[in-house]
Formats: sequence, structure tokens, C-alpha cells
Amino acid sequence: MRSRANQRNNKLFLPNQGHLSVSGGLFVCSLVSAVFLFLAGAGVAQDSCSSVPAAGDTIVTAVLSEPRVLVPILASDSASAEICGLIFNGLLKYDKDLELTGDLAERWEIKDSGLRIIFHLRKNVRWHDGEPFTARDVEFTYKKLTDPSVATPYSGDFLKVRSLRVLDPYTVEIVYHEVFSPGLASWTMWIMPRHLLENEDLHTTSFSLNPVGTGPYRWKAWKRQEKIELTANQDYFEGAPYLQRFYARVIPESSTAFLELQTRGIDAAALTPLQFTKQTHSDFFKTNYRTFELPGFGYTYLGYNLENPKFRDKRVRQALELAVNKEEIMRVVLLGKAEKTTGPFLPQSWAYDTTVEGERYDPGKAKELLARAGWQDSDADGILDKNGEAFEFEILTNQGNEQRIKTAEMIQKYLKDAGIRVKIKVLEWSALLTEFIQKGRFEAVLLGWALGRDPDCYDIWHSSKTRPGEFNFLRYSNPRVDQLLDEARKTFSVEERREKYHEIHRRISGDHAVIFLYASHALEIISSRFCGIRPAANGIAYNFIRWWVPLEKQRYKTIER
Amino acid sequence: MPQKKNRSKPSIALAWGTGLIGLLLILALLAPVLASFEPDSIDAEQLLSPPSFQHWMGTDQLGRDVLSRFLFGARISLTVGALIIVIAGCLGILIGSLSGYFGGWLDQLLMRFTDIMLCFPVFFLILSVIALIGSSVFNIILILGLTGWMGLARLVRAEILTLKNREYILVARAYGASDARLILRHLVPNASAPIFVTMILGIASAILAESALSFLGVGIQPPTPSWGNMLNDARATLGVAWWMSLFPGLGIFCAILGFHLIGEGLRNPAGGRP
Amino acid sequence: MFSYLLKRLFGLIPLLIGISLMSFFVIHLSPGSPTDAALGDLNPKVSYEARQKMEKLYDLDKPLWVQYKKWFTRILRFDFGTSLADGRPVIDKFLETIPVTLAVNGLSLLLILLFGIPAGVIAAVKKGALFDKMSAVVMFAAFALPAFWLALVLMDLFGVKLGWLPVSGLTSLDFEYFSGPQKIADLARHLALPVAVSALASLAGISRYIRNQMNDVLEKPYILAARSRNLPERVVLYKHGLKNALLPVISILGLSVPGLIGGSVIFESIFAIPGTGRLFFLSVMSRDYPVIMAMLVTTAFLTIIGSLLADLGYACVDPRIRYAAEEK
Repeated sequence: MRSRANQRNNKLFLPNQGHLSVSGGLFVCSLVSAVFLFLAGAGVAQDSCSSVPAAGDTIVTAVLSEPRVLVPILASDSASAEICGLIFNGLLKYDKDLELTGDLAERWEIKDSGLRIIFHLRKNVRWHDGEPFTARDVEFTYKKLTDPSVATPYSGDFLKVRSLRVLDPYTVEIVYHEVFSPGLASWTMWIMPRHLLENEDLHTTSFSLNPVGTGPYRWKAWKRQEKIELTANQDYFEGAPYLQRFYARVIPESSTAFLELQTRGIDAAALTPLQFTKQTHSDFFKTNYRTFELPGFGYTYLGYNLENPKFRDKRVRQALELAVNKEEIMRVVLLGKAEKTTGPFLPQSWAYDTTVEGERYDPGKAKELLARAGWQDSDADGILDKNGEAFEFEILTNQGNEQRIKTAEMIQKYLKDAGIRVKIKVLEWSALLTEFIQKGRFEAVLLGWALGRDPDCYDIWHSSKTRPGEFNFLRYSNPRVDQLLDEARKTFSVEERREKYHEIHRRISGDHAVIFLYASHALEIISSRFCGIRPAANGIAYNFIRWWVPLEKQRYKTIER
Repeated sequence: MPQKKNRSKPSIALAWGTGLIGLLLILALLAPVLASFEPDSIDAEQLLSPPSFQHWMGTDQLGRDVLSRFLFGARISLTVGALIIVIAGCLGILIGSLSGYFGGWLDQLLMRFTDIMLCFPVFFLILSVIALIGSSVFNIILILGLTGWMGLARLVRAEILTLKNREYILVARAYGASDARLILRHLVPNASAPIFVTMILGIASAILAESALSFLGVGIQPPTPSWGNMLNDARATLGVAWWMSLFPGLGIFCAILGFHLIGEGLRNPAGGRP
Repeated sequence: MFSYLLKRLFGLIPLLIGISLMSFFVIHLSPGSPTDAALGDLNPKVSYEARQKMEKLYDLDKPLWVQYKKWFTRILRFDFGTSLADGRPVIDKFLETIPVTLAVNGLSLLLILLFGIPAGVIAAVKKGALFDKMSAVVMFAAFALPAFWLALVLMDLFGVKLGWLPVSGLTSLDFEYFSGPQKIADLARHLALPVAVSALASLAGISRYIRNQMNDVLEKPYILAARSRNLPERVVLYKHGLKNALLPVISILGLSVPGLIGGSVIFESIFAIPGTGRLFFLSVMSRDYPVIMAMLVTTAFLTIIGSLLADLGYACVDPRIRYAAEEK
């Protein structure tokens, strides 16, 4: 028993990578594509790590913003998710190879070809306040998730549940309205203590200031906008974590965090590609830190408003894809710290069809296609036109994401060469979402999707999901894809699901619905005094409770609690 | 008397200031001629290369020529700074002098309005406007201009309050000078020393304000270069590419120094009191 | 004098209502909604229903004037409501941050006056001398450097290269375990850089302003008169000169209150200091209406007090204003 419950999202050291996604996960699966185990950077010989693991010491991490709320089912930002991941457990979790495994549930049974799931819970698990954990807590969490008066973002998957019955204090039976395979992964949702929250309003409860869970770390203290302190749970059911204290310092500026690394003020941080490739090769960094390049859990794309007449013609969309040099964008903007992607799944997922090639940069062919679609430079002003209308459009993207803005600038340049005038509008997030995306007031967007471990992407691509506020805002519609998305949800067989997702991948790619640009890597730096870090498909944080520091290297041993 | 001895000094300051600003203006005007690259031409083989014969000021993260961006950025930054202060200056002088000269309910009304505007943390207004219509150059100028006049208005009002009971004003009024003439020919010019210093400082502040907005990600948006957003770009590369921060920083520095020298130089001749 | 004060105080009430109305409508009409941030980044699993649920919960589906009425009746009881972001009372969030911001800005103001006034006076007296020129160059340099850049360079120098000061934050990790004097020393070490940087940025403005004012004043007839009476230079400079030169400075200081409360986002972000500027910025970004409203109204209130004090200061030093006001 080594792993720990943080697999719902691997945000431990990834504060700026977006957000948490509950439904994630591969049900009994194996990785199809190449496994991403790269241990890049300064690989210091870890001689001292060969000894027996020792308890003690502290890890200090940096988060870009402070957690908003620590009630598990309301937590939606990455900082809250990171902290909740250390304090709470779900029924299930992902192991290092991204396979679902038991967490609070010892084992589970799938019956009636997936209509019914029975969870057998661990016995002798206690909340941090000493109360025993039982099936009633699971029932309570489920009720809150589906309670209309609770503003949880995660109700979607749980509304598919017809009933949840407590068979005995350690057995829960869940019946779905219809077979719903992403449902299993949704039970990675953190379980909340009924005895503390039963009579509380989750939105204003003081529980959020003093969360009590079953996880490897206990809540200690919170200095607002400054730091959060957790201490090891000595009674954790998988054994006490070695690192005795966990600090998350709120450092809003990544340049400040990088200076802090240089004074060893923090032990771990996420790096930018530039910092990773150019600024961590000094002797100081080589002796004090190790760097890791890990697969990310999302992709960046250029999407069109498919209802806009300009983008209705598939040849035009294909031409745009041919005109953009994706390889060069990855090389320049991400300094190669990214993965090529050609479809709507994570490149490391079994759902990703590796046979899909995507379009290679070919400006000549792009020009030809555009000409065939009627776009020609008839007035010789360098801009293509058709029926007297010049080919120009506006790309919207959000503020605060340097890589996206730089990518937009490069795309602007490529398309200028192809005879298309592109304007870039960088908008503040909230305004972009409500005023432009939800109202369909855009021509093209440069955005990213953070994805869960389960490949189900019904909400993004199904043609029924186009109401304002829903996620198929590009208005993609393909009856065959709709059908496949539906079917893939209704079977638990990975073989069948893989086949369907591969076809979805091929069709969406073949439709040139969007330009899939890149899936950027997570770049982490961690103090070299920590032993036991084992990068895997699931990142590095999955075995955090087994990280340790040899006695002679422990830095924070003097402090008595 | 020490003043006498120094009478010639201001013109030296003026000369330096005009020279500096003039130089920047020439650079800005001739940007298309002087720049040997397009400010947005990306060169994937030349990322972050240090100054060389080909790229005098080096290149940035996208391999764009920093010199070209510096020159085109000068156009943007200087225009933005000047236009902001034109808007803010007109509003401030107008409101301040009306308020100070006429007093009474008009003064009450205008000063209350000024107070309300002062109480609005400016960057919130900016955020709201930018959220609505995007942060184009025009919007930045407008919003910074419209929110930058209050200090000046209060200053002008206070100056006019102290001046308007002076004998020469009373005499001029007795001779039948109109209100407009009194304000424009007598009061405002006599208050011009502090007004001018404030406005000159204002241009500098406006240029800096744009760079502060860039820091928050709501300044002039790429790919349009301004000294402010160039400097902000350089933030990520501070330890790797000094040239990316040095040159736009130098631009801002020279502009501010130049405007201040002009201000100082002009001050004394203009400030001679009767 | 007293009636003038009374009149001004009564004038505050409609002003505050005006500000609250304006703030309320501007922030509610600006695009975006609190539900965007609370529901996270673009997450396909955040359901459409959840968004609507939230809007109902926070009364965001009611007409604006109903929301304003609710807010206003609460504010009369000094109840600022609870934050939409985390459900905590707004007043708590506000009170946590305000001492930090006040400390940083108060100290930097002190520094500015401490260095700015003498520097300005000396520069004015020895106009054109080496000190005047040198101080002008140094101060313009500090002024011309964008604050964030200066901050990063100083952090690198004093924090990393020399290792004299901590790079960021307000306290050390083990602050809670320190003794009293250790705590003070720790705070002082953490505050040194942010205070210095924020003071440097405004030092040039104030000191050059005082120099120019001083210059004007020193050419006034009454100074010539004082000089001709052979009063000691010290008396001429400080009693007659500086007193009059400081007049407009009072006005500037009165106006700097909203800047002090809200304008420190950049320092606070760079130095990772938990102050009001950051709170405000984050609230605006997440459309946390109750927090934004509370901060706008409080800032407005403080500004009005500041501007009132500035006016009073003027009236005290310059009797003509007082007479003018009382004539009406």
C-alpha cells in the first residue's frame, strides 16, 4: 500500500494549470501510447536515498493563489484542490499508471453490466477528529452533491444516479438510471464527514476554515494570503506520511517564486519553459534541486465559431491548419516542452488514436485549398478576398496566460503570410466567458481544455451541449460523433470504448473542427533532499506520502510542535 | 542674490530636455525607416539572442528584433502619454478653474463630482471598461485620460482660490474684463507653474501607468509593442536576457527625464510673478 | 471655521450615497459574473445547472434595484455581507488585510517625508548646484523605473545575491514560534524592501514638487522682506519659506488615500504580501460583489475624510480660503 489519494487531479505542484476535473479516469485500462516517464534535468546521484526512509522534515511549496474554499464538493480552483487532496479521500483513486484503485473503498463490484456498483468500504478508517468513517458519510456526500440548494460544480455525473443505498455500515450500493461508464471515476470525489456538516450550510460553514478529513495530512493553520500549514496524520490508514509538515506559501508572481527557489525559501514550484531550459543549469540548482518534465493534463487549441459562414467550409478550416506551423510554435513558445496533439484526448490516454497524423505545415497547399474555396487576392493588397469581402477574423484569448498570447501572436504571423488578416483580442477571463463565449459572440478562440483521466468528452463535442453556458460553444455538430459519444458512455468495456473514442478522434480531426495545437508538459522543480519521488504516468504527486528526507539532510527539524 | 546668477541655467535644462524628447520623437517618427525588421517578424532561429550587428538590441522570446519593437513602441508610448495628459489636462483645468472662480453651487457640484471620481480606485474602472470593450490603445488613452484629471482640477481650483482676490484681478474685473478673459488670460496663466509641473509629471506618470497596467495584464495588448508591455515581457526573462528590459527601460527613463527637464526649463520664465 | 466644518460633514451623506450607487451599478453592469470564478476554469464537468443554481442562491437573478436595496439596508446596520467567493464575512477579510497595507504605506509615507522634504529644500536653496542635479537624476531614475522591475532587481540583489533580506512574504515560516522581539525583527526584515520600493517610486515626485514650490516661494516679496530684515537664513527658510511651500503638498497627501488603499497591488503581488490591494484585485477578477462594494465604499469614506482634512489644512494655513468659504 503505497499510493495516496491525490489522483483526482495531479495539481500538487501545478498551481497555474487550470482546474480540477472530477470525472477523470480510466477504468481497467492500460496505456496505449508511449509512457511518459522522463526524469529530465539534473539527476543528482541519490546516494543518501538508499538508506531506510526516515520520518521528519517539512516541505514548502508555492501556490499562485490561495484556496477559495475547502469544502470538498465546492472546491473548484487548483489551490483548493491541492489542499483538499491532502486532507480528504475519495472512494477510488488513480494509481501511478492512471488505473482506478480503491481508496476509502477496499474493493468494488460492477453488476448488471454496469447499472449497479457496490462499494465495500475500508473498516477502521477514522476522521481526523476520531469519529469512525462509515457508509453514512458516503450517502451524505452524495446527497449534498445532488441537493439543488448546493452550488456544487460536480453534480453532473451524480445526477445520473437513480439511488444510493447503504446496505450496511461498510457497504454502499449505487444504481444508475442507465449504464454510465464515466460514473465509476466520479467516485474519486472526496467524501465529507457527515457528523460535522449535517446541520451546516455548506456555503458559509466554518468547516471551510478548519476542514476535517480522512487523508494523510491534518489541517493546522491558515494565514490568509500568506501560507497554509498541514501536519502529518499519524493514524493515516495507509501509514503515516514521512514528511511531517506541509506548507503552501501563496506567491502570486512566478518570478518571485523563482527568486525564492534561489534562496531555498521554497522546496518545490512549477517552472516556465524558459526557467526550466535556461535558468536551472547553474551549480546551485544542480546541487539543490531536481527538475521533472511530466505529461500535462490538457491541450491548447484554436477553435472557430462553426456557425460563422467563413468557417463553415471544411476546406478553409483545413487550409488554416496547414498554414499554421505547429512544430515551430511548440519550439518557440514552449521551447519544446510540449506534446504534439491531433485530437480531443490526452496524448497519453488509451482513447487517443496514435495513427491520426494531423496536418503538417504546408503553406502552399493551404493557399491552393483557399483558392479552391474561392478565397483569392483579387485586389492585390496582400489579403485574400471573396465576393469583395476580405478574409479577416479576430482571435479571442484570455489574459494572464503568456503562452497562449504568444501562440496567438505566432498564429497571427502565419496567417498574415497566408493572406489572412488576424486581430488578437486579449480579454479578462470572466468577461471573455460571459460576454463573448457564452453569447457566441466570437469568430475564433485560443483556449485550452483541462481534461480528466476518463476520456469521456460528451460535454465538449455533443451537439446537444450548446445552450449558453454549456461547453460545446464552438457549435460542433456531427451525428456520427454524437452517436459514438453516447455509446461510449454506455459500456464499461475498455475495448469497446477505445474503438469508439478512436473513431471520434479520427472524425473530429478529419472535420478539422479545431486546430489542436499542443499539450504542454508540466515542469516541476523539487529540492534534491527529497527521496522517494517516482515519476509516472500519473505525475509525481501520487506517492507523496512516501517521500522522505534522510536524517542528515533534514532542514526543519528544530521546530517543536 | 543667488537667483540672478542662475538665470541662464533653466535654458540649459530646457535645451537638454527638448533635445532628449526631440531625439525620441525623431526615433519614433522615423521608426519605419530606421527599423530593419518588422516589429512582429518572428524568427524561430534567433530566440533571445543578445545584441549583435544584425540585431542591435538583441531579440525577444519570439526572435523579434528588440530595436524595431523599441522604435515602434516609442510611437505608442509617447502618443499614449501625451494624449492622456491632453485629455486629463483639459478636463482638470476646465473643472478646476470653473469651480474655483465661480464658487457657490457650481463649486460644490464639481468638487463633489471630483471627490466621487477620486474615490473610485482607477484601476477598477479600467478593468471594467477593458472587460467591456477590450484594451485597445484608444481605450487605454481614453480611460486613463478620463480618470486622471481630478488631482489637477483640485490643484487648479486651489491656485485660483488664492489668486482670485489679488489686486490685479480685482482691478481687471473693475475694468470690465469678462469671466472667460479673467480665467484664461489672468488666472490660469498665473497658476501655470504648478499646473505645468503637474502636467509634465503627468506625462511621465501616464507612461508609467501604462506599464503598470501591462503588469496586471490589462495594458496595451500584444502584438502592438509599447515600452510598458515590452518591459513586462522582459519580466519573465530578467535573469536570461538583460537587453529585453534594459532598452525599453531606458526609453521610459529618457522620456521621463526629458519631460522633467523641459518642465524645469520652462518653469522660471513662465513663473515670473508680477 | 466650525460652521465650515459642519457644512462639509453634512455634505458627506449624499456623497456617500452617490458613490455607493455609482459603484453598485458600474460593478453589476460590468461583464462577467461571480459564478465564473467560483465554478473554476473552463471545466466540461461544471454543469449548466450548477451555474443557474448559484445565481439563484446569490440573488443574482433579481433586478438590480432589488439587489441594491438589500445591500443598502444591510449597510445601514454596518453589515457588509459575506463574500461570494468563500462565504466568509466581508468585514473579516477586510480587517485581515488593512493593517498590512497601512503599515507598508504608512512607513513608506514617513520615509518619503523624511527624505523628500529636506532633499527638496536643499535642492531649492542650492538651485543648480551639484546636489540639486544629482538628486534630480537619482530621483528621476527611481521614479522612471517601473516599480515591479525595481522590486525584482532589489529582491535579486538583497535577497539572493547578498542574502541580507528575505525575498518575499510578510513573516518567516516559523513566525508563530518566535519571541516578541524576534517577531518584530522578522517583520522589519520582510517589510524593508517593499517599503523602500514603494517610497522610492513617490520620493521623486514629492521632493521635486517641494523644490519647485520652495523656489517660487523664495522669490516672493515677503521672503525678500524677511531677508532684508536680516533674519537668520534658517528662520527665513523654514518659518516663512517651507511653511508656504508645503501648502500644495498637503493637498497631494490628502488625495493619496485611495492610492494607498487600492494602489498597492503591484507591490503586494511581487512581494507576496497579504494586503488590501491584492484582496481588491482578486475580488474584481472573481466579481466578488460584496467585497468590492465594501472596499469601494470604505475607500471612498477614507478619501473624503482625507480631502476634508486637506481642505481644513488649507483653511488653517491660508486664511483667504476660510473667508471665501464663510462668505457664502
